[in-house]
Amino acid sequence: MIYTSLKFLIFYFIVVFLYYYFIKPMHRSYYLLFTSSVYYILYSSKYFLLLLCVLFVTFAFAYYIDKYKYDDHIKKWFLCTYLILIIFFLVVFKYNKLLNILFSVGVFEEKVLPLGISFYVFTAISYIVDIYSDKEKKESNALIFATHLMLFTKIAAGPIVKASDLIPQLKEEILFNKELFRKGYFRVIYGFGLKLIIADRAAIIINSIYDNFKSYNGLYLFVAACLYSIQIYCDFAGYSYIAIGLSNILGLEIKTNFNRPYLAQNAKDFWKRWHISLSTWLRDYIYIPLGGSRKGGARKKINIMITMLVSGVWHGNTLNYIVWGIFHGLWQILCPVKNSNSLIHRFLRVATNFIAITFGWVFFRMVNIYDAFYILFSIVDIRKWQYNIKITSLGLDRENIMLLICTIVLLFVIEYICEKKGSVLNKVIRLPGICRYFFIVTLVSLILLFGIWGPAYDSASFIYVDF
Amino acid sequence: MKREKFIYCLKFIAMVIILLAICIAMGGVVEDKSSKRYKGDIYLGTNNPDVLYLGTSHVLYGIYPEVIDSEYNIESYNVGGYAQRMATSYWCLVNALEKNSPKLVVVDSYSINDDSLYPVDDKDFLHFSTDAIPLSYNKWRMVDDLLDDSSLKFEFLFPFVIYHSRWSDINRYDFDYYKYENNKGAIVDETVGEYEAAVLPLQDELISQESVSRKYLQKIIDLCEDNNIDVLLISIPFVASEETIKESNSMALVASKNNLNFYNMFYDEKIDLDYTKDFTESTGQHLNSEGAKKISLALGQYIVDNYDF
Repeated sequence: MIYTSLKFLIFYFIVVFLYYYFIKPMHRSYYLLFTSSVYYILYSSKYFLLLLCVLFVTFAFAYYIDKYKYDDHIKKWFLCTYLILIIFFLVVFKYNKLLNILFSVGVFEEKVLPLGISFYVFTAISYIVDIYSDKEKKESNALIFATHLMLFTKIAAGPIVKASDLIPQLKEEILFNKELFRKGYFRVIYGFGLKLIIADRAAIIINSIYDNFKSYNGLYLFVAACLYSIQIYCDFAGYSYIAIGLSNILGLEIKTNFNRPYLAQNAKDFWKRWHISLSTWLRDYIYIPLGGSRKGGARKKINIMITMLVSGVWHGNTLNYIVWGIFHGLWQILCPVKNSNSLIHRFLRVATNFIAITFGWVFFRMVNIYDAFYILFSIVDIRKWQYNIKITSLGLDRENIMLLICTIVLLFVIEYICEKKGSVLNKVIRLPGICRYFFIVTLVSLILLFGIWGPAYDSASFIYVDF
Repeated sequence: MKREKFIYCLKFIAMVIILLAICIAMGGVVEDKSSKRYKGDIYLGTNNPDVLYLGTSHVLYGIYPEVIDSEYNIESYNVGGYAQRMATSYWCLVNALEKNSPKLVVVDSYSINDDSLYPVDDKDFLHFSTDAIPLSYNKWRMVDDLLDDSSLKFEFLFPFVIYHSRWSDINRYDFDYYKYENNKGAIVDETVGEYEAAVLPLQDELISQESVSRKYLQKIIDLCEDNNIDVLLISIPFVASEETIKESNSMALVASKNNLNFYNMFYDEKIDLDYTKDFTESTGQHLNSEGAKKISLALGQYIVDNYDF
């Protein structure tokens, strides 16, 4: 049940209705646990027991690490054992293809990825490590912990939420918060707009070109690459807005996962804005434990490379993701960090940054590494570009292309306004009632009219659900 | 607190209703107008004709109500459709009877041995037959009966689901389609194709087998009987194999069982159909304007000779 499906929307509406009309505030956490279990079983019943195993093992190890918190040796033993177990579990399910190659065919059967495995494993690891480092208190209520790990609004593809951010909210009475509720539904609507109007529309052109990339010259491939940068952002940010919005509607605050990443002026800035929950996790549990920037310049660069390599490997079990990780590692090391105040310089930095990110995304999109290099070399060889581009031959008619361009421009305008003047959302939720309702009805109507949905289209899942 | 919850609930319901209304309005604009243009009049009850013609594209192309109307003064309407199976014809009739009270229903025999409820490989044909039917309990019953897949049912109940992507194709026709000639439901094709005449088996040679189409034909007959409507079974000629004509001939059994007339036009030499001139260029399944006029005149004469109008 992906979030953009009618089945999920009906499921969610029933959940919210019962939540606010029949469930007492002090019991709402437990109700969320029940609904999260139902959701997981409906989506991926085969792997529900696995999720419960991770839950049980994590809870048990948290208990023992906390019990022996004054005995460093035993505490470390428990931590290492847990990490080995949980990483082994992740590797078996996520990297079975690679294991098949390394350890002979047929030893590890190809499996469909359990829903949200990468995300809930990382959530569990962050919980255990934080308890070990004394940054987090062990949660004694197993059901509350289970709700935190399994919450259905974020289990599919994150955000990766720290226990310290969510568990306190779950332990208290969850009351109706009008402002949060409004933010929630606006985020959900915005997320749907990004996904259905921009991401899925761009995908039509991108797939036309990339499915047959050798037939297209560098200019087409450059257009596809740029559009893919937009697609992956709108797809994933769209998902995140929906996930966070759905949580907000239920009265839960979850930190933002994207902060206008394509307005970043350099690599470091980009990674503070893109998939914030993952980059924060990587910083806190890989980069800093390795020493961060505290052990000299050379070691810092090595730590960055390792961190980005882990990020690449986390995304997938094929070589292209590893290359993508290496690319971002190198880019962070080599890219100057200084920001600029001059408008033109800022624009040039942002544009250069966008091109660099776009080149990196080519590795992300093309599973075959040679195809990715072919595309990049074709793009770079500007002498072979042919400028008689027939964009209407790529699956979209003229009107749809105009709509795509206008919505992408609108997206950047909104993001620029937010960058300069603060969140637009805070202003929108304070509109007078009738204006707000008119705004909602208009936005939803436009999404229904212009969105890429319905039986004429292949129901496109979110890209990051596959991780 | 309870009052606040109640108000929130009301606001939500109000917004959903407003959104549904907007979707229906938008749907009315972006919807493909073919069905509404050709079949809209019958489901809106604009004409209330005395005779309805049901069947596949053989009927759609082969019977011109306007010719019958002008020659014999019989108000009629063509409710045929592309690959319209007997099941679909049955439900079109059910919905048509909401606003019409015909005296006679004419049913063509083509695909009488077919087991499908609708053209599975081309849903557009089913849309042509049914989009013009307004949303109602009978439309819901029709969709529920014909279709298994819930997403398909949704598409046929709320065509906006499939037509919203037409926003980029909207043109003037979408707003003044009703001004265009609809030929009382018939499609006029003036192209000419040359074919060989059908080899006719003996009229009493027939192939009859149990089929879904036969079941729905019986439902049409029973429905008409319940509503005091006469039924006339026909076979419109087309470029056919011997086997197909024998299948059409089996309508005689249905007619006999139900005490109905069966007008098998394959064997009426007075029609004087010319297989080198009276069929369309694209297929020998469809009559062109010349052929359709001949069939319509013959049919009109038969109706006048056998029914009181």
